Amino acid sequence: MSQQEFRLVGKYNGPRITGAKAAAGAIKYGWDFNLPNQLYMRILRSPYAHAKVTAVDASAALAMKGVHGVLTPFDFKDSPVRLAGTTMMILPYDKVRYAGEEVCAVVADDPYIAEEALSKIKVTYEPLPYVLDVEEAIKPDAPQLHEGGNIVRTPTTVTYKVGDTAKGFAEAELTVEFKLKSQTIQHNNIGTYAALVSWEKDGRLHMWTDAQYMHGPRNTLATVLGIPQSRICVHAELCGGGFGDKSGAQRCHILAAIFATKTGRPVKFKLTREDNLLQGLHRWTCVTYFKFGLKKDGTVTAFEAKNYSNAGAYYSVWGSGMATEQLYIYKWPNFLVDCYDVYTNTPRTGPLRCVADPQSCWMIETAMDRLAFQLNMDPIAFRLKNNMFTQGDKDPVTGNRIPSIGQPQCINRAKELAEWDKKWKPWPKTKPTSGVVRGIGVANHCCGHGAGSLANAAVLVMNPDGSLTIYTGATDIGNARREQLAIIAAEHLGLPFEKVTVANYSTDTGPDSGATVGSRQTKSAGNAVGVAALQVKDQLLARAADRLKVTKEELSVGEEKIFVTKDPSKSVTIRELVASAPWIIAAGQWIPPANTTQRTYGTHIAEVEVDCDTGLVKVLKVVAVHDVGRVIYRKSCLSQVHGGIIQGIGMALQEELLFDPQTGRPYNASMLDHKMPLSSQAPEIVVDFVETVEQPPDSYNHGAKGLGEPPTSPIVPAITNAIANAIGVYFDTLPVTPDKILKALGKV
Amino acid sequence: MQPIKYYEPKTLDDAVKILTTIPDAAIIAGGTELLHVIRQNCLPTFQPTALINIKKIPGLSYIKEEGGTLKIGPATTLVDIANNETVKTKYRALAMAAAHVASPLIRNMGTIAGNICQDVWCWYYRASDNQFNCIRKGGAICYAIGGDNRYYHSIFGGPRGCYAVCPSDTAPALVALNATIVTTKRNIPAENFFTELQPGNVLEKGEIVKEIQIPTPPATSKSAFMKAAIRPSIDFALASAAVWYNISGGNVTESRIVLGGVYLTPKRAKAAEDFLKGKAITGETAAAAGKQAVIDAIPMVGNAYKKSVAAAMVTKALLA
Ligand code: SF4
Repeated sequence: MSQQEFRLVGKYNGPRITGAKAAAGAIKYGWDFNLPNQLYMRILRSPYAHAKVTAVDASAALAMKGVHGVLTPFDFKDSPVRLAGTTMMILPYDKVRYAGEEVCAVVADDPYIAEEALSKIKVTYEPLPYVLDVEEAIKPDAPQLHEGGNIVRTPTTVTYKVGDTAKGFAEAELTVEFKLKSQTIQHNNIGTYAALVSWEKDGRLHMWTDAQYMHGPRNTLATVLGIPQSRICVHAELCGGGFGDKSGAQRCHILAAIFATKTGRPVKFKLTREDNLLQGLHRWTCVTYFKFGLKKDGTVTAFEAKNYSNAGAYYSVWGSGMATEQLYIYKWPNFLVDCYDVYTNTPRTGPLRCVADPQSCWMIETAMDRLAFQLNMDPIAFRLKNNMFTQGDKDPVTGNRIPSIGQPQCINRAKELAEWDKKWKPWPKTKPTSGVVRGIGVANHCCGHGAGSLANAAVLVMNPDGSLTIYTGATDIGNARREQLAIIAAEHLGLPFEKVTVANYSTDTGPDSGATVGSRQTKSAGNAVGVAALQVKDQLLARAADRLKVTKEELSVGEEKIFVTKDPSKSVTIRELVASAPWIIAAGQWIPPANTTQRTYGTHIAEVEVDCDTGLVKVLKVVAVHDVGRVIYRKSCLSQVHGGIIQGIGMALQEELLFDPQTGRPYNASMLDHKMPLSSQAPEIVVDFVETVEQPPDSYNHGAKGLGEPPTSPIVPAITNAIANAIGVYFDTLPVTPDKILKALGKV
Repeated sequence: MQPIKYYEPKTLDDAVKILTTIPDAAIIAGGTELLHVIRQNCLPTFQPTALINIKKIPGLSYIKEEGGTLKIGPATTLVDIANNETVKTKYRALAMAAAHVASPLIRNMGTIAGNICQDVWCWYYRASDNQFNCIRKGGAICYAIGGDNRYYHSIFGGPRGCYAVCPSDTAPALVALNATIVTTKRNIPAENFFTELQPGNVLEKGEIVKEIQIPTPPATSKSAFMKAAIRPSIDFALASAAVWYNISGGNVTESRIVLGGVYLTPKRAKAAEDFLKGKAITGETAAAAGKQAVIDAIPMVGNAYKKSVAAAMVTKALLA
């Protein structure tokens, strides 16, 4: 279908359903739910980076008026629960593995009593040597965090090999080697982990929270409590920010459920900012050694990378490593990428707006720019020289089909919008030493999207008045899930947007549709809704055919009617067809096609200003072009890109969670010092979309690909490449702070 | 956290009385600094049992010019100072400094006396639950020396073993404008108000800042404040500069150049002042004065770049 034929897809651009209420503070998030008689939970943090927990004396805390329970590691001696890729205890009975890790928890009548009780719990530690740095941790004599050593292979840390790199290096006219290192960042969601957990009158455990996934946490709680999954209901109406941090049950959720079970009272908690900075997941530090072989005309003949990812004390179920998606931009003939995860005494890691994509995108696109710099070639010309993937190309590692590839269109469109040919000037021959200089930088991007799980499910129910209700577990975490799914269904069924509603979110009201992660739900839940919508449509057509005495094939849908295509005056309204039982109800599940690799593409171009006296960088303008397959709801597509760019500024220029080698302790675990970007740093942003429909066309969701994560990645190398263009220096580490810039300019 | 008693005295005298009779009482006005210290539980010796709110005392928030002196009440908010027309025209460095403090929310709450009485902002010092019991708190070592000193530490040494910096934006402006801090006990020139040791000022037990006075500068003089920070708002200065100078016959007759964010106290740059004497302010002299201002810097391992930042702020302020 061409864009013109859609009624709503890409065209409906009404306001976000929850937008005005959210802006007015009228929406309830995890912390906003209350029940009579509720208790408040607080969690005690470990002050040690690595220590045996030899004893806990909670008697003074328990003796306090208003304290109703304390849980210690010794309560969980025999109950390991897999909360992460690593088996992680509910509380670490054997030893704590990083400073800030949960050690004990307490519930009390109010949060102040709970906080005071924390200070009365006496934990005896036997400190152990610790290791914070990933390259220190791989040394044979490094302190060991888990049995089996510090180096692990996780689901995403593997070896990727194409061609023969030895042959490729033999063909090379020059080789370039460097090492790049990214940083550790926490999500800093506006809403920290928070929930209210209660055994209700229906004899079931209810949890009100904000989450990217309801069924996963429900299932974890059922396992821990030893009760059927059906006896738990998780409610997650809206989410105060997710970005990967809220994709599963954390220790805090489980502890609250245990307390609620033990005390018979509702238990409420909200992590403090510092707790969340340390007990949430973290985008991990990647250290990668690169070696490139290339010809003088700019052709890369071979590339090898050895990646060590700082998995922290525990890695998430998604694993760590270096995202391989970046290997799907250029058709390198020979490459070998070897990834290792390494445990260190730092917080646990997990996805932050993609599993490893921001780190990998920064590294690969920095590498590409460095090679262009080496040859003094226009960075876009250099990229175009290196055979970008185009429609029809296959996955080089697995041979899988890639249904749609829009990389060349993205870079060409971005180049045009940014007036690249007018603005790009070669790198300065001598480094500037004072004043303000400008630069422009480019970066491509590819990442997976859409699938990642077989759970993609929705139930559609036609109501007697001809409106439609969608029931799904695909939560709305700010990504306009409600609007997108409604548009997809309404488009199929000839209904106006207003007549399609997504039911409130809980595990009772929608089937498991997987987590809202991995830029997947417009594709995955969208396809599940599409599958069900086509079933609904088929039943409507059958009923209409019966009434109008024609065959289904002769009918069309539109304007809340089913009509004879050739003679639209012969019609029946949908309302008439569904006014009485039997109802039209359809369950849709989408199974991602086999041997297929879903990929989404993008290009960012950033213009920056570098102050050579202060080392401060200002991002002036960003052009962002993304291949989204199909725009469903433009408003949310734009806000994904705007948000991603601002978040990316943090990674490029200022954000980092830091641990002190002298003590193993965090020293900047606050919003002030972690330095997430502010709205005042937002640049001018120009956005455009490339629509490359998958081949063969995927008719269920009208061809949309994912966009949630992509916009936060290419902005990072676009900024650092622009800095390099301005001052002639590429940096090996992130973030690029003033101290690094002025040192590189020889001003130190 | 222990329960804290809360007082709302009617007069400054009453506040002093409570302050001297209750052993661990503390003054609170805007609360933006004090509540952070209490909630962080970062100072082992500072556990106030009582808070005395002076913001409710009538008549402590004012800005007025009287007999050649600008008088500012201690509880005057930073936003009021930043927006005051008189301050903006005649005491420009102070208005600019007040406008650069943190964020609008904090400027609405925070007061001028609170701003100059802030303790240092060193991330080890301020970490929760006294996780880094450093020299400034009576411990054995300074974690910043062997640690991360890139943002919040001195480039002019640490004579008492502590290398933190005075984080106040208004402090260098007050020193540059030759202000006097009037307390319930005495008058202290702003330049002598700040100390290297904790808590960072000379106030004695039971002594409260009562007024800030600034002599009205001659019409031939000019002042300005500039600040460099990682983020354009919220963040403390990597380095800041407040300058005041008087011009006669096109040349500087007298000046006061003060750096912020680079030493335990506001740092007067005498070499830069001497350099400017008798010269016109031009791009060249301003740049040279910036260099002079940091000529005696002895930076730490991670913060040598702040020399350039501080120099740039002096230059910018002189040309502003
Ligand atoms: S600089 Fe001062 S406050 Fe910071 S760690 Fe050192 S002694 Fe403590």
